[in-house]
Amino acid sequence: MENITGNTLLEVRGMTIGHEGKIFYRGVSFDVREGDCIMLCGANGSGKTTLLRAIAGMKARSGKGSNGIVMIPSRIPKVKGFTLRDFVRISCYSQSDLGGRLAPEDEAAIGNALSRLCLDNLAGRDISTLSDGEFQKAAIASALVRRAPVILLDEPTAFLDAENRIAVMGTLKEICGMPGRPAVIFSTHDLAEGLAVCGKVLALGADGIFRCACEDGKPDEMQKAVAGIFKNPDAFIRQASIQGEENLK
Amino acid sequence: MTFLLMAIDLYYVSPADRNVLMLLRLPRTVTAMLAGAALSLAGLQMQSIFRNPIADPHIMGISSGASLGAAAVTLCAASSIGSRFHEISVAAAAFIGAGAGAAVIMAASKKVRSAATLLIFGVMLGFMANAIVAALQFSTDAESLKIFYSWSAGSFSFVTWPQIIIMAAAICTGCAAALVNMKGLDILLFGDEFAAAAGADPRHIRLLAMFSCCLCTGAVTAFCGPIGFAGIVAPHIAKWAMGSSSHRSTIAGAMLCGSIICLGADLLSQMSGTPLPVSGTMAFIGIPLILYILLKKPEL
Repeated sequence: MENITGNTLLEVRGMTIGHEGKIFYRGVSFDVREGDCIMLCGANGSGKTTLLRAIAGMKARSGKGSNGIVMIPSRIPKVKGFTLRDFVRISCYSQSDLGGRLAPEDEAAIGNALSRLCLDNLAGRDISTLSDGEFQKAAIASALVRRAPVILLDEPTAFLDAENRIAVMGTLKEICGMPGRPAVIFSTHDLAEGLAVCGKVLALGADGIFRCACEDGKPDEMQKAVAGIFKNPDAFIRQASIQGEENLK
Repeated sequence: MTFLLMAIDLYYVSPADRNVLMLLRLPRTVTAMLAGAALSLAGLQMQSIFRNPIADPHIMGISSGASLGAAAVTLCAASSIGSRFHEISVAAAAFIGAGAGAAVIMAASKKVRSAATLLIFGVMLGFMANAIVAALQFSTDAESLKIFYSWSAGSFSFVTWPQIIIMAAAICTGCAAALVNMKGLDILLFGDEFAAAAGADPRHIRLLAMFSCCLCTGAVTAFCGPIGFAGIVAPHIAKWAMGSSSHRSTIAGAMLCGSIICLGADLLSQMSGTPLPVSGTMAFIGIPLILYILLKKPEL
């Protein structure tokens, strides 16, 4: 019951997630297809970042010209003295020469990515003067420039205000439909906003069970999977259904 | 320009004056410039790899390690090593001492996440090295001790041309390492995880940067003594003046700034009747600027 429109980029089967000798989840299995927008949720310390790092170490079955899976960590420092364009250029570490210069086609790709994410008017601004949301978008742009088939984002909306959170979530949804159809996996605590944009959910349950659900599964399956991360799942479903009814009104 | 004027002057002065210029003034000026460039290059790289605005070889204990190495050779082994090899062996010992200090700091940086705690660790490491040097002083003769004291106060004077050549060679190698490492130093500013995700190897970048720091610090400390503060201040002035933190521009900028600061400190030290130690005049120039940096960046 998965999204059949895109090719499978990653097949995870029976993965075990653990940290420093402690096992969190066994039998983690899911697929990542082209253009998937996947939300990863779980309580603090449940192993979201560990799972993302594990995926970052995998190899995607991607087409020509791409550069493997790219992970964008949370809380990248906004170092003063670099323009937004410099920042994207620096992130193309493997493509640039010793002096950090890029080939003309890569420079053009930066221009393209920035204009797609509506960042072109900020390209010359010092990154320390950008809002956290704008900077997060710049980090996403850097993944696009590297033609990543799968983009992993560790809590991209943490520490953002409501407006920036919505903007970044919107960007995530948007890039899944861009040429090359990259898949996006993002971890977040903003469940309602995440559910609104994602087509698949990976949930690290409070009961020690890993759940994967997608939009075209049974109705409410994604919500149920998300509820699994709470010690009291029913309360979340009740809350969500009340909100849903309010939205219908 | 200054050098051009000096060169012209050389043809119009008496042999005695020429000697003063060639044997005293010119070596001192060149030494001050080289030392400033080297310490600033080391400071810039340390600030980048530790992401700490007031890191430099002096405060992080690398200079103290170098001092310990140089002191061990000067105080203990001076008689057993022929004078021909004295310079190079002092430089090598200083480099090894700096390397030992750097290794301890690198090991500590894996455990210590806080920039401020790592700084304190470096300061403590420096105290430890100084304590060993103090112990060495007790077991040495008066003549060595006199040489040692004038060296440990820091000075750009009495550096000979062969020593300058050793310094210049070490600094050129250190500078080449920094230039090769340029884009790695840039990306490390955005965090290890971001750097690794972009295909860089943070460990490799750090090791190369520390190698360069040790070469620069070791060379300067061996012949000029432990000199602080220029390495902290110069990179900040360079970043501010150039409006960029990209190492493509800050490496050259910081080295130039460091040279100017050390020339200034040397000038200041020679202004009074009896020459003052450079470490003292450097503190007068450097510390107010460092305090200003700290006030601007309270979230260290």
